Amino acid sequence: MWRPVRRRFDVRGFGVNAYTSEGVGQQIVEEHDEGTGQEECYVVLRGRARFKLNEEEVDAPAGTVVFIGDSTVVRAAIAEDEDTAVLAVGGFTGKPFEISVWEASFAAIPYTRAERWEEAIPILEAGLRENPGHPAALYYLARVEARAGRSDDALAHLTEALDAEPEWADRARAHTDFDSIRDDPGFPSA
Amino acid sequence: MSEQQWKVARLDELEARGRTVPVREHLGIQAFGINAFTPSDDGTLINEHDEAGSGQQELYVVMDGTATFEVDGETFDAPAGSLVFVEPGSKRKATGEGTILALGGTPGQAYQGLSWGDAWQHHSESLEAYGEQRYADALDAVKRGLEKDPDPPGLHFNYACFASLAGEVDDDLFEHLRVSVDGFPPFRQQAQQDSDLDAVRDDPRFAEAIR
Repeated sequence: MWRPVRRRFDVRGFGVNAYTSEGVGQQIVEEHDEGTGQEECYVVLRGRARFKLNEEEVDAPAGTVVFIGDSTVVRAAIAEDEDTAVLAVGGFTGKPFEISVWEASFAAIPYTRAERWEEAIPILEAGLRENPGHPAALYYLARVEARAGRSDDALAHLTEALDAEPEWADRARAHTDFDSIRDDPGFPSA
Repeated sequence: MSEQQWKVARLDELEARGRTVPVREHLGIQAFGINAFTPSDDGTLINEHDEAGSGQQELYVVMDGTATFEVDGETFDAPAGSLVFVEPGSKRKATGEGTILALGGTPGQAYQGLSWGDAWQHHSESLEAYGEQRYADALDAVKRGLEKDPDPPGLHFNYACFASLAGEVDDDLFEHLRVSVDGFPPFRQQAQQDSDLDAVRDDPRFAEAIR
């Protein structure tokens, strides 16, 4: 479970979040690399985690610090104890910290899963303000706006996203979130 | 495993410098500050200070035990698992038992870490005295640190700060300030904001030192 520490405190000097487990064997750090170029440091606060760094497994009881300086390393972690908590800290070498575009998407998930589109939109709009013009932020906002019936806003943001990432047009044409605007003349055609 | 790609360590196995565990230096982290602190004999975990000069935001994580924080005069308990976020301008300190992890970074600026070299013990001693407003003692500790290792720019900057606070305003103060800025350019901006240097900021030697 994602614990949005950075958002909670509005930390802007570095990235920080926490993850807690809900059972043994649960994925506590999802598999990913840091394509953004961030350095990351994980601190096991309680319980026990098993990290996988590329193909190597690392046992990490409470008090373990895992520092990953190479952003290409694929990292993941599984909870080995039921009550495991891991702190994740991140930042960029040689440049100021930037809030990641995925953060708003994660924060909106509880609302989009419940189809509470109007409550998700302000979260995604705030994410877009933090990352102006970012195609992923635009695209996700467009999806939710389309589901909320905000056709004009959805088309405008989708168009802007596809201007930046034209190869996403096929994905947009197939995505059911855009069903409400699919017949609009402004919707990307094949 | 490539040692260059990642590093794994147990906090309680990293070599401490007194009650400071220099996590960032040990692991070669460059993007943010991260250190751990254990209690001093009198129970101090975090010396009283603010980060107004550096603009650094700090997040404290109580790893184990219990801490009592005081931030801008407000006191509260922080058991294990607590997260305490403090903006740069706020005065903070903490006492208790256990281990505190401290994370830091300045919004809008690339992180640049400071090393204290072989003088870390004197640096720690100076910070303890500073936290207790024993500025002459803090300055004395820095002087002894510089005898042991004259290189760390942080020591030179702290010399200027503690001399200013102790009322020992002479050419040496400004020379140390100049050396600190030459060795660590972010001190140029910090010097203009750090309240420790308020007493000397209008001295013409100040502007010359940070030029």
